[in-house]
Amino acid sequence: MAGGGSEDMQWCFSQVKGAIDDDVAEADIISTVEFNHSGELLATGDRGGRVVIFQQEVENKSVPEYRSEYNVYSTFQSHEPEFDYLKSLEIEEKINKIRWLPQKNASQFLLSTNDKTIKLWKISERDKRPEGYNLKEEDGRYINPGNVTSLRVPVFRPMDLMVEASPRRVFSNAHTYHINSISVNSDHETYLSADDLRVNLWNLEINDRSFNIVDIKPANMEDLTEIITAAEFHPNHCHTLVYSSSKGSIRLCDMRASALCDQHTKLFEEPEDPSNRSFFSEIISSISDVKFSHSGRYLMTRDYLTVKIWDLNMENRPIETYQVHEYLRNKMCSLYENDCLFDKFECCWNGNDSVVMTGSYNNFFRMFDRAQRRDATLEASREHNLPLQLLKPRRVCTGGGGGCSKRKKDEISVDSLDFNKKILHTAWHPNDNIIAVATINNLYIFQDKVSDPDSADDLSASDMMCTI
Amino acid sequence: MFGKGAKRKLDEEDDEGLEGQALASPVAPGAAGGPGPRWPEGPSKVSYTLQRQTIFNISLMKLMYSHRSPPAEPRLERRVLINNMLRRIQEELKQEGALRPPLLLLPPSPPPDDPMDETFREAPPAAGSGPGPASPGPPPAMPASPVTPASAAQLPQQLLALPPSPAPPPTPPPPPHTATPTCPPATPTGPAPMEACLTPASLLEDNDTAFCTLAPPTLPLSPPPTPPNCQPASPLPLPPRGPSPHGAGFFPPAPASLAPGPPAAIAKTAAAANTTTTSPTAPALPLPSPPLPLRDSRTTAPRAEVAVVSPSSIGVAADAAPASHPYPPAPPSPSGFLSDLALDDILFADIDTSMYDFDACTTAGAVTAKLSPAVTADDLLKSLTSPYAVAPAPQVSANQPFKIDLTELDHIMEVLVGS
Repeated sequence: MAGGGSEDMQWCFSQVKGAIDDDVAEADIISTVEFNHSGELLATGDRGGRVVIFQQEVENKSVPEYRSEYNVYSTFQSHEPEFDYLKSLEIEEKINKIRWLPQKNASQFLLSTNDKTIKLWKISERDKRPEGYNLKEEDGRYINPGNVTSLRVPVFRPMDLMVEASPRRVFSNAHTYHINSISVNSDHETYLSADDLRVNLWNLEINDRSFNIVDIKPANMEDLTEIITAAEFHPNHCHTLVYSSSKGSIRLCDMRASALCDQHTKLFEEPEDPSNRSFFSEIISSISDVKFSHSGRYLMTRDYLTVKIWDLNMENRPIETYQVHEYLRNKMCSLYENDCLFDKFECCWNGNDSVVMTGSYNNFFRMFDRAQRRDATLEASREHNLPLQLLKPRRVCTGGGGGCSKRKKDEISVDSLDFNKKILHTAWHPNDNIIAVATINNLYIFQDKVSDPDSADDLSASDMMCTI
Repeated sequence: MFGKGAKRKLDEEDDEGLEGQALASPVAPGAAGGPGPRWPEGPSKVSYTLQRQTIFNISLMKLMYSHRSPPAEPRLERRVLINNMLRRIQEELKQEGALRPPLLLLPPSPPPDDPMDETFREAPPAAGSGPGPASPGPPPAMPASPVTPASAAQLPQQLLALPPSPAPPPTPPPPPHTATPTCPPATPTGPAPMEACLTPASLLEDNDTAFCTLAPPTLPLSPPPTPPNCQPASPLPLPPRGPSPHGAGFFPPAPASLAPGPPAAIAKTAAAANTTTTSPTAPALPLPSPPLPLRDSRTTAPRAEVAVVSPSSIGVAADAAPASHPYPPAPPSPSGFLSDLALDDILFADIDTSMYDFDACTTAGAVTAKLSPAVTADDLLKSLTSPYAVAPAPQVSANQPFKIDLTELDHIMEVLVGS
């Protein structure tokens, strides 16, 4: 069951990962979330340079209500902080992006990157070990050869599952500026990495060489007014990539056209609405995320206030625009002051490209059903953590007290929003209605409500628990 | 809300008045060109100016202040966006201020060299292409940037301090990332790095010699820092950044609290600009105060005043500033502006009374401006006479700090803003 949209989708709480206390250590702040291609594994990266991988519980997969139970599978330190002695600057170990490689054998591979270095990690399972060595004791000590009287062939016996992560490649020294994106190509051989001014193409097997395919650095840095904010390969065409800019434009490049793709093949840009013009127009037009649809036909971009869907065949405007939190338009000066205006929200598609999701403030996240033309605002909060408890739609009302019904608990006024609680990273299971939503330091997993024909829809959460 | 994303009506009754005004007022087209700015009439123009100035100051502060405790590389996107914002405001001011006396605009850009720049270690570019000693060494801080003479011509605001960087006139202010970590980032405080930042030799040799030579005096030109507790009430909840722990005055040479590199240069000019912006509280404004005492005051001046920016005072100052500007009217041609300015001109020119002509300065009709002349003219004259009575160049600025009664000014400010 991939994606939804036939009726109103309702979401239930499944799990929350991470510390409960409000005192958040900087290192625990989640910086990226990504499902693998089967959805069985869910990887998170944090500011401390660690990667935590959760695995869907196999036994529960067949039980619809518990199919979204994920448990820790592997944890490893991917990047360490470094110090650039030349410039006297620290290189953060924060994991900016994780991208899974399609699975080719028993092991899983993922790419993780911080600001400067990309690493290819192999995650492999070990559940057997050889026992019965001829020349060694069980603890590894060698037996006195004189005491060996018979020949034994070691056999593999089951052991407790051990998951090992080992770095297979380190791709470094190719980026002067901060890496913001990595994207694995559909040829499964190459991938791109993008920083503020350049996009490089790598071969997964070769770590000492990369090709620069996009370079927007001006000859005179004083003329720099636009930078690259995100880049991605087309899901099906291995020669096509897109990159977005801080001025709200998206460029599609075809690598067959030339080795250096400074000349774009297509430029997606919407003319500015003059009635909405303000000092902050440019900042809020800066695209924070760009994602191809699974079909490869559409492109989704996220800027500060909106999510836009573009048809690759139409460059002059998006085909759909969704307002994520338009009520913030009047707050932009304050948001600029406290730097919230620079927050980089991500967005994601569901499995069949019918619903898109993105995060907002106050631990709200938004879903837009393209087919049904409906949208929902939900909250990731520890207050609704009963298993399978339905999430109630939330609403933000504007204008001080006016328009806000004080008695409704699910309404909140714009002025009461907590801008420190932001959901920047979200991910949607590629084949199922399971979503992972990252608050500052917690990972929430929600699944859609399983409609049980025998039960009424207005069962309360506790009733649901009883019947299960 | 469906696919088309219906827009909500603007909420004009917003609690934060300036927020609403930001949307109500059209933004003058910047570099993109287009029709000239349409000035909203009456009070909305004032608030528009106030907001613009507030945003300008916030932007400068952002470029200067780094939250990172172990200095990490500043985010390029953020810097580029803030820099674009500053440029846009400068452009707007330039377009507006054709009639205004030539006030030099603070270019918020750092020198062309930057830890983030790959050419960081390379030799400095040829003269004329911008100052920018790549060598990490003394001349740091002078922001390569350019004050476009044209833009300099207009600056109404407090940005009376000349950006201590020369630059080829037509060059637009360089983006922050081109800044060098002029003053070594590691050095936390200090007069020493400050001094090192003050007169980069390479800058003095640069094309715009006149402009370059203005560098030292520009510092003095900034008004003496106002004590933090003198800040007038600010309509916007500005971040209480507080004094820089490093106590650097106008030239915070990348103390630990600053992002290394680009912000340093910006910081200098920014600090200068900010101090001038707070000058409204000291109505006398940007006069050629003595470099020496000013330097001292710089070292002691808490950078808090940078944060002390008060939109109301800024707004008023914006209009009052021109009056106090001691510079002779610049020639209208942008390219000629900087070259025509000479140290002597600035320091010794007779004050052109046209600068006191507030009607000309405030053609936009800021209401508060009409009142400000009455307040500031006398003070202005007081402070103006002394510096100009003194002969020699560098010491020109009088040793007297402004004798403005700040509390009195605060009171006046509140009256003006409150009305």
